[in-house]
Amino acid sequence: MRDPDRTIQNLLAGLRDAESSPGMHRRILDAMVTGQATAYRSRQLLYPAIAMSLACALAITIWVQHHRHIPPNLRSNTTNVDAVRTKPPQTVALPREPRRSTSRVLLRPMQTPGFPAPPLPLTGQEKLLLRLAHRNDVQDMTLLNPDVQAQQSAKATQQFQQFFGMDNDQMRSESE
Amino acid sequence: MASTEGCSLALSFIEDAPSAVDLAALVDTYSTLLFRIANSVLRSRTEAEDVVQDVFIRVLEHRLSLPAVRDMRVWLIRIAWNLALDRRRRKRPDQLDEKFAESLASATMPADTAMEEAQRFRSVLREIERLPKPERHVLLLSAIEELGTSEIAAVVRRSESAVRALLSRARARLRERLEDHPRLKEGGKV
Repeated sequence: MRDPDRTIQNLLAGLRDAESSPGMHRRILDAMVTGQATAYRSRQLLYPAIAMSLACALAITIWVQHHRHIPPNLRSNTTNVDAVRTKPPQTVALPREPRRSTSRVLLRPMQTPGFPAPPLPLTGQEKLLLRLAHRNDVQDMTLLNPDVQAQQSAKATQQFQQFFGMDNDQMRSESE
Repeated sequence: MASTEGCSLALSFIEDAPSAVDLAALVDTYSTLLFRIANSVLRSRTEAEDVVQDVFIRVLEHRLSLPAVRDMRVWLIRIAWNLALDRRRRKRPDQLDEKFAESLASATMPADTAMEEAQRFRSVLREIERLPKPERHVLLLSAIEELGTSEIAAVVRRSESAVRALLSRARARLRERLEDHPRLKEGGKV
């Protein structure tokens, strides 16, 4: 470039003398007025909204507190007008419930039995029997018969006696 | 100016807190300066005007703290400068220069030489973009005639001597690069 200084000066002069569009002032002021009016209106609506939400929260709290202290049976009595009329007025001493901690209240549904009660788990022997029944092996099934078991037991005892040369009387005397 | 007075009245009605600062007068006094500052960064008139509007909206939001502002002019310039830089980060540098250089050349030159000048301006703008950030910022702010060294120093948060050094370094570097520019060496033709 032949004369860079001059070009730089021209460019900087162009930046310096840049003119905004004629309506800029007006637009800015309008935007400020609009923005301010919106903020003012939203602030005016904000306080009633806060008051309403506080009132709702208070009402809900009172309702919850009231219903927590009256047991369900008494609550139903108070709603039934005829029952109130027929029954003589009597003072009910409400049993004071001890104050519960939040964690205990949360645990309560887990500890109470469900309805209907879930089936109890099978014992080891029951599981073994189930397995045998599912396998359907003839030999295993015959073993389950008490007569067969008794026969086998007698046979085993006999074999034992024969092997060691003992008779019943000897065995009894030894065991005594 | 009648319209400005009307808005001033509207603003004063809306203001619910006492403020010693007349916002409409602030707009009148500073909007052109702020526009030039934003325009030097963004190189777009519409975007620069948006920035100026954002500045005054922010001023309005913080109007309660206005009396505590020591130097209103520097404070406003700094807001405009930061908002413009924020906007600038969202744009590619090459998006800026084409139309801006043409409009700048056509505003300052006769039509027959404007094209050639626009090409030179594009090259200068490209080289300005390649400058180190502090030098570029000081150079752009120095282009605004109304700004003194002390104000530039306050905006970029450096000492006045540092600003002077940055400015002279920026000019020297820019001149050197433009002289060495391979496409601009031959008679200023691109």
